[in-house]
Amino acid sequence: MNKFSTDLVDLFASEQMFDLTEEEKCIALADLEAMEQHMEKIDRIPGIKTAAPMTHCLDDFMLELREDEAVESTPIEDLLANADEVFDREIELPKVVNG
Amino acid sequence: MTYMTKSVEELHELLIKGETSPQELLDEAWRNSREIQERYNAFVTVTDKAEETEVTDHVLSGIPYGAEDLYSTKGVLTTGGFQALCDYIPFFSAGPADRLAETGAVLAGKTAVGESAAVRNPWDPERSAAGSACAVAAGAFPFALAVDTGDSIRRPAAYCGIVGYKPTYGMISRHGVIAGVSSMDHCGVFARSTADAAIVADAMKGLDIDDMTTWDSSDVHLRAALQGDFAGKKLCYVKELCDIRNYPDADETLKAHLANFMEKVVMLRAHGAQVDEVSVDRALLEAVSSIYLVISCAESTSNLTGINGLVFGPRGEGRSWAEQIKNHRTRGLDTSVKRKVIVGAYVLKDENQERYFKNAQRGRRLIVDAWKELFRAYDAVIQPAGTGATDAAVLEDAMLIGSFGGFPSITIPDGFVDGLPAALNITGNCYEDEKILDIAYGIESMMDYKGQIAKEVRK
Repeated sequence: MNKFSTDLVDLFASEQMFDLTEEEKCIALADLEAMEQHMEKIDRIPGIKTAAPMTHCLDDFMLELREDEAVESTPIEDLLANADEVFDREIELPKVVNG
Repeated sequence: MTYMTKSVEELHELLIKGETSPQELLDEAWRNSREIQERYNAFVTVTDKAEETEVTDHVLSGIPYGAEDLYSTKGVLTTGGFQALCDYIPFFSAGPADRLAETGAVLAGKTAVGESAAVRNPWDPERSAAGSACAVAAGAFPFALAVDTGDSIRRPAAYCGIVGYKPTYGMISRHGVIAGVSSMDHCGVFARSTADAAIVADAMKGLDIDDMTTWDSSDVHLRAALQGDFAGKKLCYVKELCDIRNYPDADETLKAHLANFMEKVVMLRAHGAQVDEVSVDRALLEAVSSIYLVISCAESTSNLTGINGLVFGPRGEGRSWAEQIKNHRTRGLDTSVKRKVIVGAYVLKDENQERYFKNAQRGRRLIVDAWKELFRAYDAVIQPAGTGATDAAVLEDAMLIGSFGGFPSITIPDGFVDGLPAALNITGNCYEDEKILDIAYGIESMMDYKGQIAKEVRK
């Protein structure tokens, strides 16, 4: 039995906060159905079960702590310049709680 | 007089002698960019104003350039290739663009993001291209910035007959560059020579307090390291990628690309380089694209959560903030992006992470370890780049390994197949950018493809 369906695709899309057209749902479903084939290729790599996951390109990378110094922050006007709906010096959103 | 087909160093000399001016160069870059936009659709924005620039001792002062539309540019539209950011005007410039501005280089245009069917290849308009690669190849300006996540500088460079260079991960700041796959995104450059690529990377690199992946490269001097003497250098190529016998269904184009590559191997040996054939487990090579798919979808999904239309981008319609975000993302993300996000959301689910995402990361490590093993014995791995062959997937995918490992990697033009550019990729170990560019410089000097401008071979 296939573990994927367009309903599942719909659920993922909803969780990711967008809608899909019927055509997009079919494309995404095919992508998910192909995942097992991809994983079979990965599973065939010798040593795959014991290797440590690689999360950073540079094995020797060291983060250096910055000095704890105050720096000038970005002016609020700059930060708001691209927001469509602004009230006073804040981004305006629809009311969440009524009353 | 045409200037934009010249190299950075040639232009600097003309500027210093007073034979041209920054404004004259910029006017030509704008004019060329508009023509290229008309013909090949390579631009998102051709700028129409720039601060007056003085010619200084810096070789980039007064030189026009382009930047892929992923780079934030203060006061200039930056869409990142997303409809969702169709009206985003940044209040700051990306770190690399800031550093170029400090040298006196002048932004002439923002180019289309990534390899796109909408952008036409200036050698063959029926083929696709990346905006920055197209613009440089067609002579808009001498260089352009781009982002290489999988191979998206090095492969389009091959198709367009120019140089594409991605430095070691973290050498150039990504602050202000719209994130795709954070563990693999590299800022880099398209140019028409290795020297120009080195000059631009020299100017952009360095620690950036706003990008914690950057490292101190103050002792790296790329342009100064170009000597071109590679006698004694040890290179290798992977048999499973480069031997025609791996491709029983090879078409004539693939055969010609691999034959061209082997001619270059003979040429290199004749010039004193050791070039060995090595073998890599085919299971590793066959998993490369699958590993890339899983990791790139997962990380893109995470990065794209910031696109919601509330802080920037046109506000979506709806009675609640959730409806507004959903409306914004539905309209603003195209099908290819939504596909990635669905796969990414699936592989990142708690119950799936181990099976999919972590296994892909394990595979990535094993492939990178295999390449690092090669680098213990060799200065660089070479391969044909961008053959376009559909029947040679492992070869086409192999440049992704450069991104997996954060390796310095450069593609240079090395001939023609069917009248279209052929290319050679050279990849080395992390932090060995000077050595890799010097090898590229040496190979480039043996051939006649440096500085070439695209000529339409199919109209």
